[in-house]
Formats: sequence, C-alpha cells, structure tokens
Amino acid sequence: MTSIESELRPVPRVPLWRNERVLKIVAQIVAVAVVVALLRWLIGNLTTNLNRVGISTDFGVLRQSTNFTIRDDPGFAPNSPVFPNMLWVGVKNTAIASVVGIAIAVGLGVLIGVGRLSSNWLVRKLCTVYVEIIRNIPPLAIIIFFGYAVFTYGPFPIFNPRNPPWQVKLPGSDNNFLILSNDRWAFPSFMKDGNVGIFWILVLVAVAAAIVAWKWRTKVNVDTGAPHHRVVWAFGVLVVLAVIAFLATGVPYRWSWPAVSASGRTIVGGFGTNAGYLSITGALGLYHASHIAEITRGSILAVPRGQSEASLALALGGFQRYRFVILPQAAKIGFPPIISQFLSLTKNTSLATVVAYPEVTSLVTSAIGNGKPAVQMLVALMAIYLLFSFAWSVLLNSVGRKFKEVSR
Amino acid sequence: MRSLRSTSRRRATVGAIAALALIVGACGGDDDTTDSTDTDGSVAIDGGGDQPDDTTADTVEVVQGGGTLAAVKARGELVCGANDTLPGFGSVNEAGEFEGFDIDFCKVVAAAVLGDANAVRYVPLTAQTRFTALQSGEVDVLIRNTTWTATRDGQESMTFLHTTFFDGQGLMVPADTGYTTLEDLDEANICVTPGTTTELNLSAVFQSRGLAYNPVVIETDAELRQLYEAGQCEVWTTDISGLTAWKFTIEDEGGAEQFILPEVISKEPLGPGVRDGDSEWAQVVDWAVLATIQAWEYGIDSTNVDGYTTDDVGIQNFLGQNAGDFDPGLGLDPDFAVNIISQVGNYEEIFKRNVEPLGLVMEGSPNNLWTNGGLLYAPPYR
Amino acid sequence: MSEIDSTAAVNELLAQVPPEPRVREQLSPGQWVKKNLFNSKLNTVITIVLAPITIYLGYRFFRFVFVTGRWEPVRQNLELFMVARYPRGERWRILTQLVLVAGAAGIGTGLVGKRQRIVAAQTGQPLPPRSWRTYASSYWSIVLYVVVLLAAFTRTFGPLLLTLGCITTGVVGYLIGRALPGAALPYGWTLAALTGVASFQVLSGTGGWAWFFTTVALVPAVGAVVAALPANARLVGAGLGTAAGLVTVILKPGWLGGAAIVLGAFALFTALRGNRVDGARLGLLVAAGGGVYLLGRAIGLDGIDWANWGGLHLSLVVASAAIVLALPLGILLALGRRSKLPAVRVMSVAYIEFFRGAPLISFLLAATFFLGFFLGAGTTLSQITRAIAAITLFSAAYVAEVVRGGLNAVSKGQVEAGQALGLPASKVTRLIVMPQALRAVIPAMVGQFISLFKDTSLLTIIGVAEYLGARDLVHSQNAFRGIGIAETLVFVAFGYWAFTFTMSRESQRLERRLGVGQR
Repeated sequence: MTSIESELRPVPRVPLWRNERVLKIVAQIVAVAVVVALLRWLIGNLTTNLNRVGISTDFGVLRQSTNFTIRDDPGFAPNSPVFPNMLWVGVKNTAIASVVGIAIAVGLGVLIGVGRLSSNWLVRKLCTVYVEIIRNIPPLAIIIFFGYAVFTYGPFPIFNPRNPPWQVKLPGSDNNFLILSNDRWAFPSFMKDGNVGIFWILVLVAVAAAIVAWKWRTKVNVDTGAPHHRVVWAFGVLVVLAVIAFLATGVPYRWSWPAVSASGRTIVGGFGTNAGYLSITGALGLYHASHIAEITRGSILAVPRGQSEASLALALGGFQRYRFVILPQAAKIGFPPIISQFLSLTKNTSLATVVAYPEVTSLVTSAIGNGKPAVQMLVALMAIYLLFSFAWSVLLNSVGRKFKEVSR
Repeated sequence: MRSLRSTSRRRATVGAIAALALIVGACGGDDDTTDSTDTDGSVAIDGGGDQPDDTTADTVEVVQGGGTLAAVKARGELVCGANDTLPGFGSVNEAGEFEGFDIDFCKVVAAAVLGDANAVRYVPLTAQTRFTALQSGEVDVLIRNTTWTATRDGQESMTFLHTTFFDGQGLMVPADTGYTTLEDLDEANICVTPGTTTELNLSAVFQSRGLAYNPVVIETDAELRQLYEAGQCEVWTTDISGLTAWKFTIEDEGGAEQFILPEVISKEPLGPGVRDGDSEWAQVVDWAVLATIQAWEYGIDSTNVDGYTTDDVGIQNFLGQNAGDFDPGLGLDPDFAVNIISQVGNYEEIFKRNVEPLGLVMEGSPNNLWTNGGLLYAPPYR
Repeated sequence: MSEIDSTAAVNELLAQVPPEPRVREQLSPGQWVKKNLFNSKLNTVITIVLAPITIYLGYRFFRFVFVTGRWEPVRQNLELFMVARYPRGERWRILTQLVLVAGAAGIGTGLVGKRQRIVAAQTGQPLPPRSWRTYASSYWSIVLYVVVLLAAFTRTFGPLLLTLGCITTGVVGYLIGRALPGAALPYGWTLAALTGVASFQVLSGTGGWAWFFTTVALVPAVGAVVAALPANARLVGAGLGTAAGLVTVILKPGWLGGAAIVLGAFALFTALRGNRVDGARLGLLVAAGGGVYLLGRAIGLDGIDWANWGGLHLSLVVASAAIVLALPLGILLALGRRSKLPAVRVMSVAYIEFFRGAPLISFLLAATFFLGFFLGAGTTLSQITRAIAAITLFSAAYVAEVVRGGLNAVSKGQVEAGQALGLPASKVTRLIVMPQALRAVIPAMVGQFISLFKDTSLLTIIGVAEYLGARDLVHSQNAFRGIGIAETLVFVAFGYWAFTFTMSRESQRLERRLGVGQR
C-alpha cells in the first residue's frame, strides 16, 4: 500500500494572509484593540475632567459618613459610612420590597391569568380588562397613583398626634388587629418571649425528620406501588414536631399587637410600614401581576390541545386535568419568563424615589446630592443591581435545567 | 469559490475599518488639528468652526477651566443656573419669565459683563443636579439659594462669592398644631429636599438633642408642598427665607395658617458660586455683586444713577467717570456699576422688590448694611 | 373476515349520513346567561358575588369621569401635556412634523399595499382578506383618544385643523404609494424615508448628523438607479464616489474627509475588480452624502434649544429616536453574541448583561451626572440628548436579545443550504439569515418599542417634563394645587394606554399574519 502513500500530495501550506486561523486571531486582536482604545479614551476623558474640576476619583470616599438619617430606620446612625452601612440598608429595603411585591404579583397574576380562561363570562371579561389596562400604562404612573391619589389625598385619616388612625380591633379585646392611616399601616406580628435558639434547633430537627419521611414514603411507593402521599406525610411530620417543639420550649413567641406610640406619631409593636413601602409594593405587585397573568395564560394555552383532549378521554375531571396534566407542562413553559418578571420587578423598585421609600437608588441619589462623587456612587449602585440580576439568573438557570425541554 | 470568500472577507475587513473610522471620527468630533480645548488656561474657544453647522443648541460649546469671562463675552449670553420653583428667589411667572432675588443677581452679573441685564439664559436646576451642572460647565454661575459650606468649597469644587443673603434653617408647621419647640417634634415626619444642607443639619441637630425624626425625602418642591399640605408630613424644613416664601404663598392662596418655629438651627449663608480654577471669572462675579452693596452704601439707586455727579473721587471711580485714570484690572468695563444699577438696581431695591413682599424684613436681620447693624460690607473699590 | 365485513358495513353507513352543517348556536339571552354565567356551582357563586361589585365600581367610575371629576386642570393646560414649555414661536415645527409623519406613514402603507398586490399577482395567491374591522380592533384606542381630546379638552380649532391636515396628508400619501408602478417602488421608499427624516430635521435643524440619516434614506433610490444604469455608467458612478471623497477631504480635512475618501476609493476598487453594482452603489452614496451635506449647510435651518421641550410629543420622539438608533447597535451585538470568535462574543455578552442588569433609572442618572465628562473637554449636552444617549445604549441590549431570538428561530437548514450554495458566511448572514430573522422579530420589536415608550416616563425623575412629568408643571400653578390630582393621572394613563394598546394589538396581528411560531 505504499503506492497510495506516495501518491498522496503534501497539503499545501495556506499563505498567512489567507489562513483562516490566523485571520480569526488577527480579527479578534483588532476588535479587542479597538474596544480597549475606545474605553481608554472615554475613561481617560472622564478622569481628566474630574481631576480638572477637582472631584476625587478614588473609591475611598465610600468610607465616609453618610450624614443623613433614613426614613423609618432609627438604628441607622448618620455618621455610619456609605459603604457598607447605607448601601446595606438600601439593599435590605430593596430586597424586602421586591420579595413582597413578587408575592403579590405571583398570587394575583396566576389567579387573573387562570381567570382569563374561565368559562364564566364575567370573570373572563373583568380579568381581560384588568390585564389590558394595567399592562399598557407605565409602572411609574401606578406608583404615583398609589403614593399620591391613594395615600396622600386618599380616604385614609391623617396620622399625627391630633388625629388617631383607623384602628381595627379584635372583637372582645383591646388589641389592634390593623391600623390604617394616611402614612402608616400596621399589622400584627410575632415577638420573642423566651429561648428561641432551642426552638429553632428543634425545628431543624423537625425539617430533617420531614425529609426522612418524604424519602421513606417515596421508597414505599417504589417498592410496593402504594400511593405515597408524601407531601401530606412530610408536611404532617414537620407540623407535628414543630408544634411539640413550640410547646416544649415554653411558647417562645407570642403575638405582638401594633399600637400607636406615646408620641402619637409612630407604631410600636406589630409590623409597621409607611406609605412609601406600601405604594411601591402595591403598585409593582399590581403592574407585574398583569404581566404574569399574560404569561400564565400564554403558557396554559401553549400546552398542546392533545394533552387536554387525552385527559378528557381518560375521564379526568377538571381539577385533576389541571393539576396533573396541564399545569406541570404550563409551569415548564412559563417559569423562565416569570422569573425574568421577578428580575424586572426588582429593577423597578428603583422608581421608589418618587414616594420617598429609602431603597438603594434613592439613598444613592441623596448621597450624591450631598457631595459624594457621582461616579463612584453610581458604579456601586449598578454593581448592586448586577448582583441582584446575577442572583435571579442563577435561579433561572437552575430552574431551567430542571425543566429542560426536549427540543425536536 | 475561494476567490469569492477572500474577496468578501477583504471587503468586509476594509469596510469594517472604514466604518470604524467613521464612528470613531464621529465620537471624536470633527476637531481641526488646531483645536485646543486643553486646560492649560488657553482661551481657545471651540466656536463650532468645523462642527457641521451645529446650530442646534442641544450641544453647548463652553470652555472649561480658565477663560469663562472670555467665553461669556464671545457667546454674548450668560448661562445662569437658577431655581424655578421658589417664590421670591427663583420662579417663573404667568408669562413664562423668570423672576426673583437670585434671578436679579443673575441679571446683575450679565449687566456687569455684557452690559445687558437681559442677556441671560436661565437653566432651572434641582438641588441634586446643581453642582454637576456647574462642574461640567453647563452653567457659568450658580445663583440658586446655595449655602456656602466647607465641603462645597472643597469636595464640590466650588468657589463661593460674597453672600447675598444671610439665612438660617428653620422648621415650619401648621399653626393649629401648637408646636413651638423642637422637642414637640419627636418622631415626626419631616419633609426635606435631598441634596441640601437642611438634610444634614436636621440629622445633626436632632441627634445632638436625642430626638428622633423621619425624613420624607422628595426632590420637587411641588410634590413636597402637596405632601405637606395633605398632612403626610407634619413639618417642612428648609431655609427660613424659603419657609417665609412658602408660608406667604400658602396663606395667600387660601391655605391653612402656617407657623415658623422660632428656633434657627443652622447658619445658611446663600450666595452665588462659580467653578474652582477660574479666579478671573470669580473676581468679576464677586465685584458685580459687591457693586450693588457699595451703591446702596453710597446712596445711589436706579432713580439717581444716571447723571449722578459728585466730588468724591471714590464714587467717581466707582461709576466709571474717571475711566482714563482708574482701572482696577478686573476685566470689567468702567461703567459696569452704572449698567448694574440702572438696569437692575442696588441691593436694597433688589431686596425690597423680591423678598419684602413675602414678609422678610431688613431691619434687625443680617441682611442690612454694616452701618445699620447688618453684615453687608463691601470692600472699597479702590 | 367478519371484522372486515362489519368495518366496511359501518363505513358504508357512515358515508350515508349527511355531514352536519357547521352553524353557530343562536342562544337566546336566557340561554346565554345560563351558559356563560351560571354553568356550574362555583361560577354561580362567583357571578353572584362579582356582579354587584362590578356594577357598583362601574357606576362610581362613570360618575367620576362624567360628573364629579375636576377636568379643568387638563382642559386649561392641554398644551403643557402635549408640548410642555415649547416656545410659542416655534410651534410650527411640531405641526409640520406631525403632518410630515402622517405623510410618511401614508406613503409607507401605500407602498406595502402595492407590494402585496404585486406579489399576489405574481404568485397567483389571493390577497389576505382585510376589512376595516381588523384595523378598527387595533386602532380604536388612538381614535378614541383623539376624539376625547378634540371633543372634551381643546379650546380652539387649531387641533381639529391639525388632525384634519394629518388625515388628509396620510390619505394623499397612501394614494401616491398605491399608484406607483412596480419599478418605481424603491423611489417610493426613498420618498417615505426622506419625509420621515425631514420630519425629524424640522425639529433638530439641518446641521449636525442630519445629513447622515438623509443619506441613509437615499439607499433604496440609489440602488434602483444603479440597477437601471448600463455597465460602463456604473463604473462612472463608482468613480464619482472617489471624486466626491477627494473633494470632501480637501474641503473638510479630518475624520469625515478621511472616511469619505476611504469609502470612495473602496467603491472604485470594488467596481474595478468586477463588482460594478456594489461599487456604483457605494460610490453614488458617497457622492450623494456629500451633496446632502452641502445642501444641508446651504439651507442652514436652525434647530432650537431643546431645553423647554416636553410633553407627549417629547415622549414619542425620544422613544422613536432611541429605537431607531438602538436597532443597528442591537443587531451588531446580537451577531457578535453568536460569533465564533470568543473575544467578540465575550465583549458582546458583557455589554448585554451589563445593560440588562441595571435599571434604566441608574443609566439616566449616570447620564445626567457625568455623561458630559466622558467626551472631550468642552462639550456639554442638553438634558434630552443625554437621556436619548442613555436610553439608546440601554435598549440596544434588549434589542440584541430580541434579535438573537430571531436569529435562533431561523432553522439551521437555511444556513446549511446557503453553505451548500457556496456562499461565504457573511453573505449567508446578510442575504439569508438576517431577512428571515428580522421579519420574525417584528412583533417582539414592537413590544420592545412599547416598553421603551413607557420607560420614557422615567425622564420625570431626572427633571425633563415629559408626558407624566407635565403634571408637576400643571399642579405647581396656583389655580390647580391639589385639585384634580387623580384626574390628571387618569388622563396621562389614558394617553399612554391609547398608544400602547394600539401597538400591542398591531404586534399581535402581525404575529398572526407572519405565522411566527407556527411550524
């Protein structure tokens, strides 16, 4: 077979200027060089101009004190540094507003989305009207509506020492169940009353037991084929053990009822919020609920009709059809856009500057107005939001992996 | 096929380079080789020589660092950073014209530098954006009830000129609340504008007294007023001059009666400010403002400045009547004082026109001539 | 055997049953109510609870709108809502702009209709049926908004005349577009694009970069001209480009001149190497660009100071400008993200993730506070220019994601077919993938425009008095403090809703018509 080898021609060397590998590398070097040159020019201009005007360009200014107080945060000392204290308060407030907003948005959104597919004409039309109106107006308009038309000029009483707020009391007792006013709303909450450490350790033990129960019931199901009811079992184990732990450690938590403070201006006890917080969470909850409703409706409709028809052929009832066939598949389709709605809601909390809720954007804007250099503060702000985005996209990717669709 | 691929690849490369040349050229601006806006104090004015007829005033050519005086003269117009929502100091009337105490001082500077008090373009600024506007060169001078503090001199790179209004910070409550002292305001909601000394003073004072409060931070005065009048915050805090203006406006428009707490919790000297690094321009603005005080001291006002004759050489020099003999070298025309006084007026006239109708009085306040017991003392024009 | 027999028998029987005509069930009102509202226990309960609440809320709403609402702040200040403090003497620019936009839209619609007719005639397929009902279902919100404005809130005849003028111009444009013969269609597109560019130049003046956009608008016409020229004339056309480049570099040394001569030389080079069509196109474009630039300088229409601009007009123009500017950047980023070169891919991903990760308000604040510092010493930009820059960079990232979705939707078979034909990668992308991808993403792009239009409301926070922020101007007047807070908010929300509702309906209709997502 050597004749074949001798007939093989040597592969001609491709000249450098036509060699694809070389060209690729050269193109990348050129592209990177151009971008780097552009960035250097931009940042060079920035530092030159800042130095000329005399504004500092190092990040050490973030260690200086904030010098102002934050709304409804008596624990924040004005001489705490911007980083990490003020930024931490901002991040905390953003996170709280986002989580509550997301809860409202998902609860309301899924309900309205399913309602748009209801067989009841009235429900269907109401949900459609809601979605078509709220989806098309800017979230800032809804936030301003809540902040000004609902709270400031709304029906609630003004809250100051001369005007008591509306206090909804529990029947038969003097404790306030709900306090409503122009500026402050309060709800009941829990309060520590003993040794909570032991209680939480016992709760962790209960959680472990619940996981064991789950796995055991799954094993029973696999071995014998009996229905596992594992959710009921795990949940039941958890609740029973937690209640036993609660009683055994001497009831370490008790109710905390909200009350108007001695000065007549704040709430003591319970869980008190201000109008800014309520405006931003309510408004964003309503706005994103309309988007989540559309996503829900779209994902339910995207489940192939054959699935629905097959479940009918199997004589599954309406609830069973939804629970076992349609919703799992719809959830697979709908989760990625819903999680990007969560990210969008987190970013929209930045609009809370107009209702004086001290989340991270409005704190950073105040700090800039009081002399902190804008570049460093805004870089910190963008970094914080990038961290939030990163967290949500990690969640999205892990959920996406779990629900990976098989593509045809 | 190979030729096709290599041709198109070459074409793509050259096309990309050409496109990049276009884009980078656009970014760099069409600068001629002799364009020098470098900050070595040279008076190069980027007068749009080769910018393709950029007569759209969405980009304003200004020179940074040295040479603001020359730039203003070349432009023929002063760009003044002002307030447009504070009655009496900087606001817009029904006809859309700016008027107020600070506005009049903008006019003073324009009259001094350009000879025409109306050659001003007002740029309304919020409290948060005012310093950036000055630093970046968007405005030539900032006359917007701005307090002179050490941090602003240093960190914000401003140079403050002679104080035009000695003020202090106060708190205002509705009269029917009956509050009279700070201790009555423990844990209250206080409406405050961000980016102001009031925000910081409040924090310091309340902390030193061991009292708590809740700041409700709203940027625009219009919304702040809405929240205050609707009762969402019980207290409004800003400079007492501003509070007096708002008190007058609220009561004048049929609102509830207001009460300004007698306690003054800080010093707030308000005055014009310019960028650091341009002492020539700073002197010009300073002496323009001082001229109004000096004229008041000499008894010259807009009614008698034309044709004012005197034997006092000092006054003659001040009014530019000895132009050939006396020139202090500030860069101002000899008759700058006459322009100011005749077109705008002296300090007393400016004060009485804008601020007195709101209820602020000169007698007994620091805003009075030093001969009357106040703090306004102009250095001699000599 | 018996099974086969019985099957055949059953089939025979079935064949004898006449097919049931499909008829819509005519339900009497009583039957309809029973079927739709009370068809199950749960639904009955829901209906009984919801119906009175709905009726009550509806009653309160109509009472608010027609009886107790204080609409004077809107009526007295309609100008503030529409154009804020735009100088009176310059209002003619806005009127001219609206009329020109109506004309451009009319011509464009006419051209699209004409092209559909031509395609239908060529392929023999019938036109898609369209009735006024389809359009009405999308556009009724805008029509309602204009009618409400004219009927309830205007105080002079000016706006009515303006509306009639726009309608007339639109109709005339549509007739012109429809009447053009097939060969003249590219000229029609150029006319529409020029009208559109002129409508923006009326506001911004003919200085600055307006010449560039005008030249881009000339691309279809130049292409048509070149296609009609004989081969030698094309060479001359390419040579014209080089000459124009030379002239430019003599008149205006600098980057612009350099770019012009490079492009002109490249055009000649291309033509000489045999591709006369492309060379002539590029050459004529360079020459046209130079001519437009000189014409612009000759006309020398001034722009005006953008400082007092605001209102609904500003929102619309800023959103349009931002999406037009963001499109090319977004397409480049999407292609970069799919590139096989890792450096390019990493940079594109970094840009996209950075601008998608932070909220728009942080970029607007950054633009307000220090955009000017990025550019050479000496330039300051108006607030609105800074806002447009920030919004453009921000939307480019979202447009890139949308276009990326479209690029992914083009099936691999298309790319492979192009490669099998021997086309290089750039041609495959340019001629095969991009047209299909862009067509597929039109609905999503409209959705992006909707969000952009709603996001212009954020300009309030940085002090620009656009549509939502004009409320501050209204309520800081003595007569309207605290009066009509909710009414002005409802009015502003109604305006936003009218435009976005139409756009979202149109995008749904386009999606159905383009058959996106159906395989």
